[in-house]
Amino acid sequence: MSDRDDHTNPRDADTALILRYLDGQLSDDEFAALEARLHDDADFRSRFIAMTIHAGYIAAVVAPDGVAAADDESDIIEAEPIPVAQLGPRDPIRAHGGRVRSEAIRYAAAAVLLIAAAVVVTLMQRDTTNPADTAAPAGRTVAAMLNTGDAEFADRASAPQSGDTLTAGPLRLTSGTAQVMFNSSAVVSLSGPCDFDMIGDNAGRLSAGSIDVYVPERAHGFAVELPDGVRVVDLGTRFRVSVLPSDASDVEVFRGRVRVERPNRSEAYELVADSIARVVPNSPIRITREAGKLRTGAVISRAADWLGASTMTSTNWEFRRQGGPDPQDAWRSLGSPLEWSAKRERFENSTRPVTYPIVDRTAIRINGPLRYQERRWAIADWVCPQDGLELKANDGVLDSQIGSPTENEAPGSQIVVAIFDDSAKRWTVLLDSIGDDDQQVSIPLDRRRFALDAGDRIRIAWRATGSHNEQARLNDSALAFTVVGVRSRNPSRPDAP
Amino acid sequence: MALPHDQIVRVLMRHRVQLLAFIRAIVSDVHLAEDILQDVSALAIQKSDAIDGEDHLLPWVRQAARYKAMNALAKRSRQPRAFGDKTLDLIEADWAAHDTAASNDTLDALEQCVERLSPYSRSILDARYKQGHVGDQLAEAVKRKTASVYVQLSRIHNALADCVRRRLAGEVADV
Repeated sequence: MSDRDDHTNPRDADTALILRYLDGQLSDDEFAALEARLHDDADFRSRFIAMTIHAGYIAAVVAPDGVAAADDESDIIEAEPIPVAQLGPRDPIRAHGGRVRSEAIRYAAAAVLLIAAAVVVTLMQRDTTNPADTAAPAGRTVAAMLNTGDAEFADRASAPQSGDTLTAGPLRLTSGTAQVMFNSSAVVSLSGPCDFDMIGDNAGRLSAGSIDVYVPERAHGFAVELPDGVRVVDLGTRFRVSVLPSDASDVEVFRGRVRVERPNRSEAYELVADSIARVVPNSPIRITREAGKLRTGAVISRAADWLGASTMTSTNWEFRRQGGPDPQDAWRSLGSPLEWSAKRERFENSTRPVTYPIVDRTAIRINGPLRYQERRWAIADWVCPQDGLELKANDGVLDSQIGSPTENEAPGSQIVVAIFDDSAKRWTVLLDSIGDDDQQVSIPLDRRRFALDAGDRIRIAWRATGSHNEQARLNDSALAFTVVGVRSRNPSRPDAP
Repeated sequence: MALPHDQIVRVLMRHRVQLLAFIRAIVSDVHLAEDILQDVSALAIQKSDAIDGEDHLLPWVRQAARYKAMNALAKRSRQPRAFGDKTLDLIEADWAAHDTAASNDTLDALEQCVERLSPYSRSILDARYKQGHVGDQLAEAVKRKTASVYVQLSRIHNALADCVRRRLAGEVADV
């Protein structure tokens, strides 16, 4: 196979050859030809090196958080819980997933790996304590701070510095990231805001926020305790744990296996690579993704799901200035809020989707039909009518009532608020929040300000997650944006390509 | 004089993309490259006495990585497909000219250039780097033939390189 064709210039052909080599795609003849050129042609050799590095940076930029695109939600398989009594310490309950995963994760994770590998030796030289998953007494050194990077600690006065030893106790980040290495050599990367306790040589407790964990072979058994009596035990892997404001937790495995267990409910699962478990207090543990396959009730689809996906449904909810006659007039009166609200929308079982005309009795009129489908998004868009509109996002509230879940299905609802830059064709997510059943969820937008031009959009999306055999509702939910100014269009802003 | 361990870690972190790329250039497998980088990083700490200053660290790591990479390829196959010693000598020698880690400006420029790609080009990058598809899988993911998808991928890489260059030169660059 050759990459050269009549329409390919020599530079592109050379780059294609290099990229195919890096992906292990060359035939023996092509490989021999590549080596000959690398040996004989200094210019080509320089391009080869530059392109190899360039490709690494592109990988890191394209998916900096390593979030892989989700499969279509129609691709679901059933999950069966595994009684904890059936699990031995290393039982290969489930087959390992494939190795395909985000390459960006590898580039991003390289920093943690480097630190882990390097500092392990340092700690081995100065601390011969055997790793244990029992709690360490307060005051005993259990870890070292590897890197504080851009971390902001809640307690600035006693914020640890890179290289400091750490005793058992809390670490609270308000923002940024920091990496900690336990005596066992397990490395935990904290992303603020985050509330984490170091409770032993090989164990920690996460109360809020998100951590990434890398566990080299000698630290197998590293444990993370979570709310509601949940424990995540490493079986040789790299994984991420997030505790949401509702005390629900997500456990995502990138490599190897972990066990997610809740002894007080006799629940335990083993997760393989490219799998995610969601734990909601007082509900069964759910495997929402297993070895790349979404499972019933998956709630892993974050904003990326609907921003580029084909599964969204479109509705005609409107933004209006409170009390104003014309939605497009909203921007004309500075200080007037653009409000979105939903009131007593009723959604029927997804097997019988029904369209309802919805009328709000207050100032906001929702004049379009809203068709609810199971796990599909209900979406409200507001399109900015002119250039240079400066808005402030006010906090809001989402009050959802999901109804009774089906067996092994924890109910929940998710709201996403995002801004679409029409010029750059790019979404910016302001909020992506998942709440539990029958509760009010605040929509904290922190009074963020942003500027919109004509054609830019504000989008609010809501959905019930999981399967539900009863109705789902939004009750008196609201969110407001206030117009705070109008600026002239930036003349240097380029047009979209 | 031996380098302090924390300084070694800082340098390795700053150059992680280049080092991973160097190893990948030898083994053409990002998974294997990462494992080797991890081993070599530990080795750099263990052998810090043998490293004479920061300037010596990266060449030392590359040399160690090269030999670990060749050993790994040999373990994987009796007749591994790998560049010969002379070719690797040339690559290793030239690599030093690319040791400068990308600045924040360069990364910002690259990010802006990626954002300005067409949806189709972006979908190819996503399929390659987000979903990790290569070869036929990549072609299937974007519904193109394998040969043509790599040509398209190469055009995107070249366009991004040009775009970054123009942005750093102060021009407003489209991709």
